[in-house]
Amino acid sequence: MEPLKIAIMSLTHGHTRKYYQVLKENSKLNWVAVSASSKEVKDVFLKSVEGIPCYDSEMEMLSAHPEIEAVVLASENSEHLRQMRMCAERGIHILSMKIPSFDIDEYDEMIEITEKAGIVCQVELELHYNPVVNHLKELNKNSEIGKLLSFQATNITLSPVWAFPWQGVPELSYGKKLPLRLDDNRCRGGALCDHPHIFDLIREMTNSDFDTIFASVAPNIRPDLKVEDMLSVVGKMKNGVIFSLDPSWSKMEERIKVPGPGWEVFPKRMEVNITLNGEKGVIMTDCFGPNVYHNGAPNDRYTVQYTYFDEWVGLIDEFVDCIRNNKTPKINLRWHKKTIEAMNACYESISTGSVVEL
Amino acid sequence: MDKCRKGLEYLVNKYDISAKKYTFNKNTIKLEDGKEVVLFPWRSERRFTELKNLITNGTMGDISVIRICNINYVDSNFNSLIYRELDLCEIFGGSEIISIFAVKNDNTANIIAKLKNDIVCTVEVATTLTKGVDLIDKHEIITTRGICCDRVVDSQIPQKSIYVFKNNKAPESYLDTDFELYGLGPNEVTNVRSAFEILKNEKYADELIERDKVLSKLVEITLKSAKTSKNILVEDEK
Repeated sequence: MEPLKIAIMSLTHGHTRKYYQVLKENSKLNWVAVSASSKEVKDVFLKSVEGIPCYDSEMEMLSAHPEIEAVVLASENSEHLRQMRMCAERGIHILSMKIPSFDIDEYDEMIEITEKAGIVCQVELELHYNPVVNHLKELNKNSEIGKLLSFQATNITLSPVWAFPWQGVPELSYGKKLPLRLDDNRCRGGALCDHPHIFDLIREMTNSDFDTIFASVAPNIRPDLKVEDMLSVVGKMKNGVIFSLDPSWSKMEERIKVPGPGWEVFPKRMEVNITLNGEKGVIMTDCFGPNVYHNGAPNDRYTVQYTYFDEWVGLIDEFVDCIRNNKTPKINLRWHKKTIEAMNACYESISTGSVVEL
Repeated sequence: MDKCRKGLEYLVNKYDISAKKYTFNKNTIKLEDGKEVVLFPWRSERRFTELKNLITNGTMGDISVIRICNINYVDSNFNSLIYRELDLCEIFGGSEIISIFAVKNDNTANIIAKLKNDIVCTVEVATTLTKGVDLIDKHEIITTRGICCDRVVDSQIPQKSIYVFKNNKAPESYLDTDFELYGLGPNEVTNVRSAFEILKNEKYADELIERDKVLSKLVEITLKSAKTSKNILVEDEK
């Protein structure tokens, strides 16, 4: 099979760095070029990766490399529709970041233009390619704990806003400036927008969709942010399974501009822990553990060193397979739309103080 | 229960409050004046005392969220878990619960309780564990200066002090927490300590009697919220 000629646009998304290694090492890929959204971003890239041409604009990159077959849209959420249009016009396949858009009209246009162009558009929800999650799904599918009663999950991280400032700007992360509540000076666009994974996973594992959602926003642990950083979500799926989801930025971080060693203040920078209660027992899962630990450089602070991190390997394999063999990705725009609607329902619940029925 | 009675007798004698008469039962203590007081053993757990200390002595910052999980045995009292954890929410948060939203499915429930001082508490309870395994719970307080928690980072189940590996079986484990009451299990220790606190301080007995009424009402509101799917203001239920 001929390697897929792939490029990255913008380089401003927090997951950009995750692609550097996999795009270089995966033999099914030929990493052709990148385009950077600014000089600052370009400088960071050039310090991190050698041998890949970096262009100042997407148009410049696409003109110089008409052979590009697929693009990773590693950009802020507000750029996604524009970039998708650009790709669809050229028949370029798309790997979208985890939030294509929170605006449902925009979202529907994305579905329309990608389907009309006949291109693959996969949404990057990498947890599906985590081996622990795979095993959890198997245990659940085999009804190891009987009928599922409740699903509790955290998707808690440090806040990436100091390295990726757009994640703290409501217009760029949520798509517009909308106060969380009438009496609140914070806006939509914070931690919730960073953490769709558990909203997606529960749909697959329960084989059901959201029925009711109640969400509550707490005082920020970073009072200087203009978006929410702490929130809690509970509710019920249509099949009766209840849930509790925590998509917060509850792990404190050093405010560094380029992510790297020493980013953590809390020892573990990210957690996805899932607890299932069933009629015959309990399953507890740490999707990113155990690990190795150190208290060395740069801050001599006790730190969890992530040890098992295979997500992007499987994700890219599926993307290439879908393009070469004309398949639909598991996390496609149509499937993902209900996850986005559930996340919007969280914001609506926070705004009204009431439960939202979907 | 005999071991617990002996343990309480030991403390009563050692600290010279032996003049008082009492009847010590599994979950209550009956005092000389006829008052029967429900025990709050979790208030005697040192891990909770230390968490509260971390908040009050300025080690941590302002609280944003309190996250609690408690998974107990299938045949345990489901409502008593809600009772206990809502009490801890108010103790850690230093404020009273003003609203509750809950969902429930069989013997599992997820609750969001909001305190008057804006702290949001998430409480996840279930009675789904089979007998013979260790109980699971976790109390995490997230503040502007960091997180304090009664569980180790990057772990999922409670730690023990001693593990004994022998005879090709799963390890036996022990958790010894109290020198004076050495020989009692952790739950027995907290029951005895809880009864002893009441004997030491009669005003505390009255406080707990009132507290029992408040918490019973909060449990009732939780169940009502789960039934009606409404966010209930505590004030509206008084």
